[in-house]
Amino acid sequence: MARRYDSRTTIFSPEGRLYQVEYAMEAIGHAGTCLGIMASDGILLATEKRNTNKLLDEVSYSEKIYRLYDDMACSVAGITADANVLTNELRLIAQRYILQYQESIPCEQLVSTLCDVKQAYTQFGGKRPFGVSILYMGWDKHYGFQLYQSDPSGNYGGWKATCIGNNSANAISLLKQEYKDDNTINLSAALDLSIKVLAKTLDMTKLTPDKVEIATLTRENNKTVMRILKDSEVEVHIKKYEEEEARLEAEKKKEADKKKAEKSDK
Amino acid sequence: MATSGMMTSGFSPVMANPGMSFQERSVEVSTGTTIMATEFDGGVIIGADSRTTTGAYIANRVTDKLTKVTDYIYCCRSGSAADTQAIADIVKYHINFQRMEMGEEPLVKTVAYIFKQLCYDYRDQLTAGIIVAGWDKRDGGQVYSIPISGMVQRMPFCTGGSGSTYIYGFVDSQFKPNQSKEDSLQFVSKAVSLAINRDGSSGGIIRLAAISKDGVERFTLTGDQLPKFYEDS
Repeated sequence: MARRYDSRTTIFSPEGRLYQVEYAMEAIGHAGTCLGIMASDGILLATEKRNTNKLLDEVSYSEKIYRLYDDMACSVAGITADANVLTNELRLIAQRYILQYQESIPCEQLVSTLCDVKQAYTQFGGKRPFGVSILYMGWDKHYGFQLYQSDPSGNYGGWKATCIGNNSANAISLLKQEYKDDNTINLSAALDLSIKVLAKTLDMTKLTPDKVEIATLTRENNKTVMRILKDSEVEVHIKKYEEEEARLEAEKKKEADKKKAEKSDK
Repeated sequence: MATSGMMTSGFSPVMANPGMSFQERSVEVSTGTTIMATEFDGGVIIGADSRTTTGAYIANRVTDKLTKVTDYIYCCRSGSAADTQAIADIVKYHINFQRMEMGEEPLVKTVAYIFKQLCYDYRDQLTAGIIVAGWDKRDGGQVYSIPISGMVQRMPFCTGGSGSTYIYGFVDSQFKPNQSKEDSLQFVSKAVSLAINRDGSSGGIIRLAAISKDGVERFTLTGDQLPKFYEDS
């Protein structure tokens, strides 16, 4: 039944849905996971690297993380070609603002301007929406560190922690449990949390540094600093996570053995 | 390459001002000026005076004509103040976009060629004499001269602006390639000082900057700190 109303973006279905937009979001659900966590002293984006083919030549800066301008970066989930068009546009929007107003564009305004473009593709023109969801991390003098998410519908929201892509629902429910909402989490703890969430939600046997890419955004000396963590640094956090897991396993086992012992005593 | 305070028609952006005569109101704001850049061993030194004029009125006596394009690449502006500011902003726009795409600092040559493209394409509408100087990791310190009509040429050192005509003899005789940073700073500050002494459109303080792999270091020479010569005693 939906078939009649899903071929054009410019038509509502009888239930009031835009099927093309929903199908676009479906496409993103199959893409590599991207997770973002905001800490008191910075923000991080952690992405699952899908292009692990040995024959692929080395990428210049990063596979899924794009620098937009001095104070903001983003990671994408979905159709890579669409993502390239959108990140190009984001970079131009930022530079146009600087040219006109002689100062950096506020984070939310950049997201909002791009989302207006994305929304246009859901209302007129006869073109399909962009099959990309984007996570933005940035700093500005108005609101400090900010994390935003935008999707093909042109909707966006500010988040403390969120996830897009494959298994994002699992990741979000895990984040809901683990993320302490009192603004005291620091970047190091956020990194540990991101490794934990990725390890639990990625459909792979073991988490290794070559399968994830983590970028952090912090402020140092009144300048925004963005870094992609080296494999060795990621390894440190993975080891910490594995040791913690092993410790928890051992404790659980001890508890279980104790209970068994108690039972058999009775 | 020399420009004097321009008498072309065009509205002065300076608002009604008690210091200006009636004629000055329709004269362009210009950086009739002295600008200079030189390569040294490890980077470049750039220098300029600080006078901006509207006719005979000095609109700004502490102008900064050394404009940042990137952390490692600056441009020295001479000619119309409005034209050169607008061009520099547009070049900044293009080069910042490219910096995001490439993920690394742009080459000095790239910046110089973007300046050239704008200055050449719009040469009938612009009055801009620009010197681009900076440091990049491929070719080290470089100076590119982009005179009025939009040609581009790399040179070991370069002077520009109306004041430069009075110091051709000095710089031609005193320049030595591969000087140290301190000697180059001396060379530039002496040259600009001499030009200020003879050119009415140049004056004020001397602004200097040294650009190398470690970034930019800025200096200002005011009043007594300006190099002195025979008649200055």
